[in-house]
Amino acid sequence: MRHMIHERLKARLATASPALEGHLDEDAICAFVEGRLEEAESSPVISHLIACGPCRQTTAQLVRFDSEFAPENELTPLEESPGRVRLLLDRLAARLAPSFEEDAVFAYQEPAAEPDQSAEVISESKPETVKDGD
Amino acid sequence: MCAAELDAIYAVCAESHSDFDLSAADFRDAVIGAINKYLIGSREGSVVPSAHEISRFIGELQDRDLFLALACARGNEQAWWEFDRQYRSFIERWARHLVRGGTDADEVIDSVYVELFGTRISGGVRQSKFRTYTGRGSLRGWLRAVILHTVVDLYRGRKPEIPLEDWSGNDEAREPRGRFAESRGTEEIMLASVVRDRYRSATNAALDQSLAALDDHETLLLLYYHVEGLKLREIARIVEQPRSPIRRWFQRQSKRRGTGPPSRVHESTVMRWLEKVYKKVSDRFHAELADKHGLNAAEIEICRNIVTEDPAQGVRLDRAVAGSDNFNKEEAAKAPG
Repeated sequence: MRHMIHERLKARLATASPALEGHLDEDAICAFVEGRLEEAESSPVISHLIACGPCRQTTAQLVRFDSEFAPENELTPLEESPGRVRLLLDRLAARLAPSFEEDAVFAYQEPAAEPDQSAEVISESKPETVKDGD
Repeated sequence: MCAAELDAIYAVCAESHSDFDLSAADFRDAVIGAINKYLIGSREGSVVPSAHEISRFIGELQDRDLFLALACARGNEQAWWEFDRQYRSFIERWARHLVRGGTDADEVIDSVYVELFGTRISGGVRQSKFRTYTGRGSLRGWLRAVILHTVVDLYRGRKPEIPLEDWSGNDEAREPRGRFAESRGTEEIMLASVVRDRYRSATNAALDQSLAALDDHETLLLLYYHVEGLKLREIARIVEQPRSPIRRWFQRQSKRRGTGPPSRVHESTVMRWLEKVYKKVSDRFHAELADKHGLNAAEIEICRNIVTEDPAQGVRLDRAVAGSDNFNKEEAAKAPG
């Protein structure tokens, strides 16, 4: 029976319908794999994992890789070199420029809306973008 | 009651990291988002969670991780400094573990940081990946999933996916219809082939029905083991957590749900669960073939062999065909293509 089920499940996989349009996000996948969900919360996740090969594969891979990952590779806080994060953020913000410019042209913005902190970071870094992008 | 609890959690986090510059309102909005996603979103209809459920949910949140993620999402430099200090080495090692190639790993690490920061702006807000983290699981576990998805995207972008029809387990692919008969070229063999198709059809229908009758937890267990190829000890890791839904479901079925401290789930436990599922499928499979398809014991045995047979060997159908009231030769001959 075990072999029979094995063959049938694999055969069904071959003829399975295309992957679902929506997928579980990393947040739900992590919460499921870590066993943090209550029964009611996990029910739709389990149903999705049965129907969705890619998401099920992700959860399986996380478990598989996790068992291979040595404990010493777990969190090891690093000593930061001064200014590293500032440079990192500048570099990351610089990559925003193209989409920022597009949005500036096409996106509607609430007149009353106050720019948030992230928007300020983007604005400040904009002049550097051209330089970094080259 | 919940608001006070939430304020208390925020106060503790803000005291530890006042330089993160995260407001109580932002923190509260994120927690409400998590409640909507998991506690309310998982319920059918308009069932509202009780104050006790909300309180428990808030208490279970990885609040410090959430606080850090929210501050990072807003681009706070101190928060990024803390995140980079705590997780950079983990991200690098995990990426190199998954990819095992220096250049590719560097590309993955770079992509992860770009995604975490966010390169797209919507409604004037930078869409940082951190905004999708709710604190339901750990930030470390969430990062693992983010890195894995980044690796998958990297390789998917480079080469086309393997077509499903290449999968060797496909019955149809292994034995194209009619080829068996053509190679032998005799009427008798053609007839046997048609009968075999009928048995195969009944077998697959009965097996599918038996599998469909399983509970979702049982189905997922089978899929992890047989389709994803997880080892018993790896499945045991999934259900290791006392709150694992799969673990709790099986424990409830066996009426051993813990009154004492939760025990470890060993490989033997998972094997025992699998054996129970096999038995359930087997019983249902036999009942389906006997009751719905009217097959006798010999025919059911043929059906079992059909699923697992080596196509080169074939199955001896003579005895069953001769003695069957259901799949007799005339009926088989009349069977549509």
